[in-house]
Amino acid sequence: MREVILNSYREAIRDRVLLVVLAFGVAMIFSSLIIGPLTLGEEIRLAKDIGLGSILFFGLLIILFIGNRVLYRELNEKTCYLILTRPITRFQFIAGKAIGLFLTILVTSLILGIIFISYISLLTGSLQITAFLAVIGVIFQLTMLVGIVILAATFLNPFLGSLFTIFVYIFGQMIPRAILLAKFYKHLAIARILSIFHYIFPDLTYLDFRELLIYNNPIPLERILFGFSYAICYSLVMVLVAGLIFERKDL
Amino acid sequence: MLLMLATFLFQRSIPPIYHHSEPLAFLPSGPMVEVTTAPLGPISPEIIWLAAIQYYGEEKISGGKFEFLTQVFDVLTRIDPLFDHAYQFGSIVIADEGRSPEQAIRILKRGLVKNPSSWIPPFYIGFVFYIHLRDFAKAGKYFELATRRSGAPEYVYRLAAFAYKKVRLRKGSILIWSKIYQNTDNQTLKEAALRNIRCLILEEYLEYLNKGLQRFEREKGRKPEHISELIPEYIDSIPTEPFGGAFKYDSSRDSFISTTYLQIEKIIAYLNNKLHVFKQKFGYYPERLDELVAKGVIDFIPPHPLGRIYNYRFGRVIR
Amino acid sequence: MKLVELRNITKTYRIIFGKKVEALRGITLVVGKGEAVALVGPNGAGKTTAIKIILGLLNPDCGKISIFGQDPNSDIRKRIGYLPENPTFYRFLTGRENLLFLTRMVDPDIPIKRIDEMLRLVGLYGAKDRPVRGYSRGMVQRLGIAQAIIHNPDLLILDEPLSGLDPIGRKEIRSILLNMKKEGKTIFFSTHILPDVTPLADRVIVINKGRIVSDLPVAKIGDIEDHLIQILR
Repeated sequence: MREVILNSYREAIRDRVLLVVLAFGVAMIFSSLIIGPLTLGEEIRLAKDIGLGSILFFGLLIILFIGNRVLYRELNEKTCYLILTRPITRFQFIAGKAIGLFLTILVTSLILGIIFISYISLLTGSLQITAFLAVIGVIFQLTMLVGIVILAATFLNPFLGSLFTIFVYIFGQMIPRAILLAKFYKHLAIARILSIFHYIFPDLTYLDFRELLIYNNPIPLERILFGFSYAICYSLVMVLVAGLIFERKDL
Repeated sequence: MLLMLATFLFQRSIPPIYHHSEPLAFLPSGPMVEVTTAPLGPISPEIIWLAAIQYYGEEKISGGKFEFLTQVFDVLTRIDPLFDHAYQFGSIVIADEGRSPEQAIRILKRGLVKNPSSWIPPFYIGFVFYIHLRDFAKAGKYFELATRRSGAPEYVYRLAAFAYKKVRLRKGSILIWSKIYQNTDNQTLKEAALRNIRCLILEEYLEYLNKGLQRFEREKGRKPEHISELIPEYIDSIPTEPFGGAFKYDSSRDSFISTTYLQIEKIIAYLNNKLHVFKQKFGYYPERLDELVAKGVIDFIPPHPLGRIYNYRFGRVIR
Repeated sequence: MKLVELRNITKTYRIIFGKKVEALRGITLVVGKGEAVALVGPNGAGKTTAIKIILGLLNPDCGKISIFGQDPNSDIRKRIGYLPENPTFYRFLTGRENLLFLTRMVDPDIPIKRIDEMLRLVGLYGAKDRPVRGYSRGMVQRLGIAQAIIHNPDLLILDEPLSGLDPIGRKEIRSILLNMKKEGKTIFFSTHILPDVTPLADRVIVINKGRIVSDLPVAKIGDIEDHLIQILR
């Protein structure tokens, strides 16, 4: 399995798309230098929000561009025949692909994250420790999306897989707020239906530490730890389901 | 090649789809916006904030009516309910230039609940009640509420006391504006504060001069022939006019006036005259003042001497 | 001893719009230890499907499979060498990296020397550090043979082992396989190129339209071409 992990990591990290995405990510982090003066004294806030957002979005782009292909290429170009006839279970194969992709996301997010943290530390003149937690939160958010994209890749082609992943991301972001809205307007039936979806779709808000980064509002430790374990469990379940689907698949 | 040329020529003849204030017409309104902008993550409040500033700036330059000002700040504070500067800037411009203090209070009252640890929302509710609605009892209540939240500066206590004691409006207003001026990095807000302080000082001076004048007339039983008769017994000296104009004694009105105010009256009369010309020429009143320039009725709109926006409603500019 | 045993295997592919293709209609075959068995048949007869089922790449609709007396999805895969029809490798890795990667999954401590030895054996040593995307069809086939035999398996399952090779390449690979046979390895291979059959195989199984139509030792078949034409007519 170690070999599968290393190999899918190596394949992803050598992809030219990754460099392009990273370059755009860095450009977007620094874009607040240009837009900053237009914000009427909110430069720091803008730099923080745009920086955090670009780590999330460019991570998502990497997942969509590369994540969808790591499995599809194996199946489509039939390189998996040589691997799956060796002493490795299909589940290990899927898990290896997922971990390889996760490592890619981890490395790229850390690169963007370190650039982001140094940038806002320079802007504010002090080391922004809260930004570390915010970046780690984003990495966990992306981990859940890695789980989603691996699941999608077991039964969809890259195009549909990307659509599926985007769809899950959008709904995952919307549902928690939609539930509050439905409760506010006393549409309890809708709120109940949405709550069911809430269990299926990933709730990225558990790992949203923006409040700490922008407003310095402390976040209770339980919430942070719950967020981490939620993300880990969710990704594991997704990979598990992907493995189950893949076990039954005719190659 | 031919098609490209034709397309190019055709494109030039099509009027641009973009009109003033239309971009924000697409902005979803109400609570649904919290749900629909969620996928943009931390970037959504930044986009709306930039849109709000841009909209404000454009409307200010073109003399618009700020129709979407309330909506854009409503959306912004829904997406990011902890954004103190959005409450501050939003409520000031909505109440002042947008001329809808009630809307400002509506947005701030939601902030009161959704941003429960900040003193900003109650303070600015008090501000709007105090300066725009002149309801001192309510203003005092909200200033006091602001003092109970952490981080409230010392002048909030003073303002609460002012409001309860019904201290003269102008003194409290000058205090509020000067604190806003000192505590913001927002250049637009600084300018607004400075403009308001100057207006208040101008009013203060006029009141002082006219009191001196009234005392003179009461005691002497006649109107003064020249201002110098009042100095130094009734007034110390003629103060400097804060907008660079001068104070003059107008014998026909029997009071002191500011040349800046006279100028404003002149410009408003001029604009109303031109609006009438526009109506006769085109059969309707323009939607916005800058249509006067666009349709060639006038070359440019004279700048407001106080740096404010002309209050244009239903075909007339009013003071 | 039976190394490969298929009992009554059927497999139907479902194509969209409810259309079904019956690839295998109840085949039963046995390969004993040390045997070299050729699976022969026209295109689309079900050769590749049968091989994929033996390896567990496809799940049969019904029937029983055992390899070394066990389920194909188990650790006995260490003892199998498989060459797919038109094998593919990671295009971004070199031939040597590909071989190393595939071998390490069977034997994590494989010495590099063994890899280079194998590359020399299949005649790829000169191209070992070139990415596979630059390989010709024949070179890819040679690399495929190398990955199938490098871990010294007891059972070789080869799908069209000699396709895509030039005449010299065919001769070289055939002699490698003959050597393996001499060492007592079991070889099960499919082909539709008849001249490849006789030098290597002890037994010929003919498959047509998903059914086994003949299963005879080479000695009992005179001319293989005549035999086939007779059966398939």
